[in-house]
Amino acid sequence: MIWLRLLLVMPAILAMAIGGSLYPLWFALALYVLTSTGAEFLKRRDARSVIGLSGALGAVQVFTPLGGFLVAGVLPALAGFPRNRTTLGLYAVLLFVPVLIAALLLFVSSAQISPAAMVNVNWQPSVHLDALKIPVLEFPVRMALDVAVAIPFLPLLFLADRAQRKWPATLGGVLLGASLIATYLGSVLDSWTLFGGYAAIIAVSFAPPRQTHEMARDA
Amino acid sequence: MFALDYALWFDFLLPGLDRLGIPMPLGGTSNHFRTQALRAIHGWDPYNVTEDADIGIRLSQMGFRVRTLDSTTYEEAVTQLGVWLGQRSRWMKGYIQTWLVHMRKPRALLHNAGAHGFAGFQLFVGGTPLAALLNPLLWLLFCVSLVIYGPAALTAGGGGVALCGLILGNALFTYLMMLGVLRRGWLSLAPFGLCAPLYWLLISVAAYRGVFELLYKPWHWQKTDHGLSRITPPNQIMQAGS
Repeated sequence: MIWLRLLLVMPAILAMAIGGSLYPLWFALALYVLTSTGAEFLKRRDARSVIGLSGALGAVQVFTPLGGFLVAGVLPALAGFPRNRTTLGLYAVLLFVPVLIAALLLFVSSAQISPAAMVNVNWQPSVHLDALKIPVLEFPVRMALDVAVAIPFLPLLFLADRAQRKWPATLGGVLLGASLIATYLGSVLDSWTLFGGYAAIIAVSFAPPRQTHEMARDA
Repeated sequence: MFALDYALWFDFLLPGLDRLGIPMPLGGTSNHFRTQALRAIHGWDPYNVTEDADIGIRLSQMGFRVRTLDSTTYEEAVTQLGVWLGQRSRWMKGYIQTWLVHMRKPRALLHNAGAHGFAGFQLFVGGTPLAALLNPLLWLLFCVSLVIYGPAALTAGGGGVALCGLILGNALFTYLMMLGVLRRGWLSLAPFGLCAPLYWLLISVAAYRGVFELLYKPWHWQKTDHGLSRITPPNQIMQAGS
């Protein structure tokens, strides 16, 4: 599995090497982590998978704080839940970390605290954010890289396939793909464009797993 | 909150200690012993008010392995704050007693339990009352600095770092309480985990009461009244999360 994971992000590493930019790698990793943790959550729904997905949502929040806030507010209407207390509980557990990280980021930015300065790290936002910008490349190379970098999007297909309720899965896929491509083609600073991606992952994750033949026979 | 607390302890923390091979402070709800093992460690300590926690550590020290079973014993939650405080203060007092008893010979504990067992003992038996005792002091310190220095306290002199530590500590406790219900599917209880910081403050009250009792009434047993709550049939408990 480790080799498969490396293969998924390998094009992004190549794109990073060719274009001299960190953005393709970040983009591919964000895609892969979100979709794979979402699929794991849908499959197991145990503490480890919840921590994985909410941790991934929280980590990406560093780049998209506004998107996280929007998801917390809009997602229930989008996916038609909470319909019962159980779903509300799942929703609360899953979004606790992203909301907490968003609140911390909001506080840090409003109080103008520099975590890097506190721990005496020479971190210059302008330099690092410049490195996250999309590389300027010729058309065929750029198109090939765009396609290759989006390979980690594939786990979402498995995610949607496992969902019993198809409409949130489909909606999720469309939203995630559209928003992530928009983010990739735009600027990383337009962070809230990942909002659709957040919503998609969680909406798909909340869809109950398909009942297998074995489960049906046991029942 | 009692259900969340128990779910976290019995479904996550104790199985985790079991898996890591760390000496396990047993809970008193349902334990099964070999008589031979009990005789080998000379039975319970009659002066320890959490004799179950103590016996778990002593069994490990004597080379016995304490394991968790995939089984559930339901316990009635206390329904009144006063009774809860009494029960919790006894637990805190007992944990401090257990820590003091086993730390009389720290080298022997280190030798018998190993480095990871020794560290686990410090964290779970010593750390539980210590965290409860420190929690209100840190809140107080933060609030006083906020009153004296105003919003500047958040940013100056590492105030932001202290605030993050305080928030993250409470957030971690809250998150663990919410996660605790996952194994049993009691997700409807998860939002109550957001009350964990308040619950933690109540635990701190119990911890200070426990310290007071340790000094002045070390062997006094705060009896917990049972049979006061409405009895919930086990099948309804099982369906609570659905």
